[in-house]
Amino acid sequence: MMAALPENSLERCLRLGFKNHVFVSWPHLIEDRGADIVRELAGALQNKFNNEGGGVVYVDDRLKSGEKWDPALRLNLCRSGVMLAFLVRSYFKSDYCAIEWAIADQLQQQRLPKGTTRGAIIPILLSEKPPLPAQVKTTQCRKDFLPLITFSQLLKSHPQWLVLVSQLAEEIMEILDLVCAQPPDWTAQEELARKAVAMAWDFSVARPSPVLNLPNFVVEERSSAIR
Amino acid sequence: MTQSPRFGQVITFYSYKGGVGRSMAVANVATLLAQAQRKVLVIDFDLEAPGLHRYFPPPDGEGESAGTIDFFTQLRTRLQALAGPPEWSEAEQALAPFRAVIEKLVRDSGFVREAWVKSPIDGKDYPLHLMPAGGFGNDYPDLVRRFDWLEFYRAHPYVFQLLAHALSSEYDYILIDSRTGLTDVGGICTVLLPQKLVLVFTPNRQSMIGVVEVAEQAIRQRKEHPSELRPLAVFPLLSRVENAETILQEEWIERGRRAFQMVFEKEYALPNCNLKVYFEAAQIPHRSFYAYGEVIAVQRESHAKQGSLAAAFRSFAECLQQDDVLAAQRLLTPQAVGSVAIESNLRVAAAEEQARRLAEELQAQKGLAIQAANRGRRLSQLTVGAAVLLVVVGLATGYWFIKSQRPDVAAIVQARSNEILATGDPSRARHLAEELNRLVPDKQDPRLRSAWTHVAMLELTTPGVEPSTVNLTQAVTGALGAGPLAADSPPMVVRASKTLGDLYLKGGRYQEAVDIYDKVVPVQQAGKDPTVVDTLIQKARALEQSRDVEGALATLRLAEQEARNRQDSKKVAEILRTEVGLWAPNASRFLPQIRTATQELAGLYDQLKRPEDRRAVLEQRGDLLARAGDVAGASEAYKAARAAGSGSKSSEWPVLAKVARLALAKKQKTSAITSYLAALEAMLDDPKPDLIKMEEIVDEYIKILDRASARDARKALKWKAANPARSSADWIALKYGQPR
Repeated sequence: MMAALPENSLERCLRLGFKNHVFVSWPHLIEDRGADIVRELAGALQNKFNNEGGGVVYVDDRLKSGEKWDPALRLNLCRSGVMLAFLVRSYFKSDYCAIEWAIADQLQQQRLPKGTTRGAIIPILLSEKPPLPAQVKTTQCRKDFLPLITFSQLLKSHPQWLVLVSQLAEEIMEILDLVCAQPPDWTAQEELARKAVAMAWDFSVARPSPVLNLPNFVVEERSSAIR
Repeated sequence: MTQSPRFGQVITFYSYKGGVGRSMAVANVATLLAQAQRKVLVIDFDLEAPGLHRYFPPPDGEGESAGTIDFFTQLRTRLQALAGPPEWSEAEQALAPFRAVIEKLVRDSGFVREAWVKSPIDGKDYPLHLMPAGGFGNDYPDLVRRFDWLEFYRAHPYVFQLLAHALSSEYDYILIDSRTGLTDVGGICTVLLPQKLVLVFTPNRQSMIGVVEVAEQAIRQRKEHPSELRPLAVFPLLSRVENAETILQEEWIERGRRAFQMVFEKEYALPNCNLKVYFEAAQIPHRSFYAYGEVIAVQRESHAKQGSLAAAFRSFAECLQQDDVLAAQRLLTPQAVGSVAIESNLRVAAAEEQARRLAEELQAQKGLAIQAANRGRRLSQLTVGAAVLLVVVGLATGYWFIKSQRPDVAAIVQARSNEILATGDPSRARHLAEELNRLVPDKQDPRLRSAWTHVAMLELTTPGVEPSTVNLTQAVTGALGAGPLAADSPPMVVRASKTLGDLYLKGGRYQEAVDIYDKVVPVQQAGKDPTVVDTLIQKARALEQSRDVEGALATLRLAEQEARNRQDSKKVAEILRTEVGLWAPNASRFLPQIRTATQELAGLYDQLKRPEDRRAVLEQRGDLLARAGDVAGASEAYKAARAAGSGSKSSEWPVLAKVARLALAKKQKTSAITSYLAALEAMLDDPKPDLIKMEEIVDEYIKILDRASARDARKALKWKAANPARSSADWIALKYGQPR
């Protein structure tokens, strides 16, 4: 009668009052292809969740910069289980992104069980070596989409695309399991989201910018295939 | 970065060693693209050893006036006049003046001149744009020597990225002939500027090792670039392949393939990468004729001739138009080689043979005529004239015959059209249709339109193919001949347009979705297409998502009218349900509409034999009426919802709880207690309970009990808390809290 609940983490989230499973945070001063990558990945996750019984991926789609930051966005983020952050250099120059990160960071501290090593923010690096602030340096970032981005204009033409999307979806569902372990105190958390101020990024620990050099190559006879 | 009006591509051709045929490859690929009516710019970046301009000589032997080095010298001067951002910044405002300078200079025709290339197929001339290395005046060596690329890059780190964007918005293809070896300019050309990198090499160790290393390091450095998100798709090109030594040839192709596969597996994360098909096709044979002078093969010979240099360049140019090397490989699969090319080759061979025979015959006739003239001095002038006339007529006939037998564009177009209609592979069909686009200048041509209609059909109906906005837009535009969607447009194109709208809606591009639906709806209405109802519902969703609730409601009313005209009860129900959802936030304002719609919906669901939906809509009616203050109406609705329940306990207790709350609101405590208890009883039998909501109901119930009953109930709850296993026994214990 009251045996183990058959619902999965996506369903449990909705039952606990979450509106979205994933909130996608990205800077809008990103180049065209960056926006395409964000939408392509968000769309693929949405499809993946649809196959798992339904999940909501919310893409923060402010149409243009300078638009008033909608308070509804704060609530949307508050009612999201996991935040996916697309990190490029402009991420750390965007006030919106700084607010989103601050909200998601405070929420994860309240929602995740003590002692867990998992975070409810999944940063995706779109460059291998961007200058990262201290707050992000401690977080584990995903770099695995980088080879796909470099390989082709069409991400999904890469043979690893579906594998990586599945892995990401699984990771999100595992984190949602942790997030949903306790029913959230919505009143307190919405208040937190309403009042959160932009994260002050700490770049003091970032490695100093190297002297800018033009790309260069070293040719050594390493490739055994040619010999 | 702002959206480019033209989505051009910067493609760099690089070779580690000189003399591998790199510039020749640039010239041939550029000519093929220009023949296909693409806007092409060729840039000579081999400043120390310029030569690309020799392939495209200026008219009347004029010299070059300016070129790449002058462009960058001028650019440096203009950028120095602006206060630069201290480091790379994506901030639009900070970069705007720099972008403006670069775009203006790109549009300045002073550094670029036009060249004309001929097509051996139709004999026409096509324009191409060339930026030679420079003006080659006395100061040229000084200009090149004095330009410090590293200093320029450090002062303006954004410059090459902005330049690539500016060029891409002016031209379809920008082909860069890079300098060889390991140089600053080589790094700029291979990593900073392009999105595709062609690595040209010959079958020897030094040439191959150089390009393989450059491939690996260029991809890695692109990944490390902090603000460049374009791909760097590498396309290896084996050049000067000598067909006489087949064993050696195969051995070196194999070496090149293995080396590049290793790089791709590592840098592109392509497990088990196998580029066999690509490497067998992407190679340029050595033809000694073209070793002399600067002759562009694809201007001189038809690319339909198998084994020719032109055919090799054409095959490679097609690969290069694909997004990546795997897509190129798919294009080159055996069926993609295409019966048309083979057929054309056979026809050319047959035509050449016939032409040869005819020429021999004419020569014989001419000889006979002259012999006759010599032998018969007595033959009149008229006879000789007749013989000469015979020769002239014969030559003219031969010329006409040869011309008529050449693979003319019309025949190729027809063959391509047939092949498109015969194929079931959407990407193959799209590729062929793109080629047809280049061959047929009139976009309204029915063959072109039906080809694109077929592509649209394949995109929509091929199992396993997920239609994309890019592909569908291309197919729809082609099928409509760049015209608007109209009542006589093929149904498949209308359907593709509707799907395009759906994709925009799914992708969160609501305004674009609404724009498409606005075009589709009148056409569907004119064609009495029943799917117009779906289109209107989708449009309403898009409007709702863009927060235009009034617009969404107006659209739903239209949809409702269409559905009623068609007596489609299912659709009417779907629309009414959506309308109720839109009215819900303002239940008081829309109370009359809610009453009418929910009443009708309950009736419709009854007709449709969907008791679960009927119960749900009655419950929703109760919720909305209660919210709007109509307690009596709400109570009645809840009762009806209970009566409509399908017997499932999981659907019953939430309604009972609502009835209880309503009774409490009407200060009917006894009735509320009875309903709460009934709700709790129903919960006990629910196989899939919502524990959070159950707790809420228990708390509400305890609040209204008298003190003694509440104490008992709390005791039961305490016991439950001490026993985390949620068995039914603890809930049954709640019965102790029954009112006395």
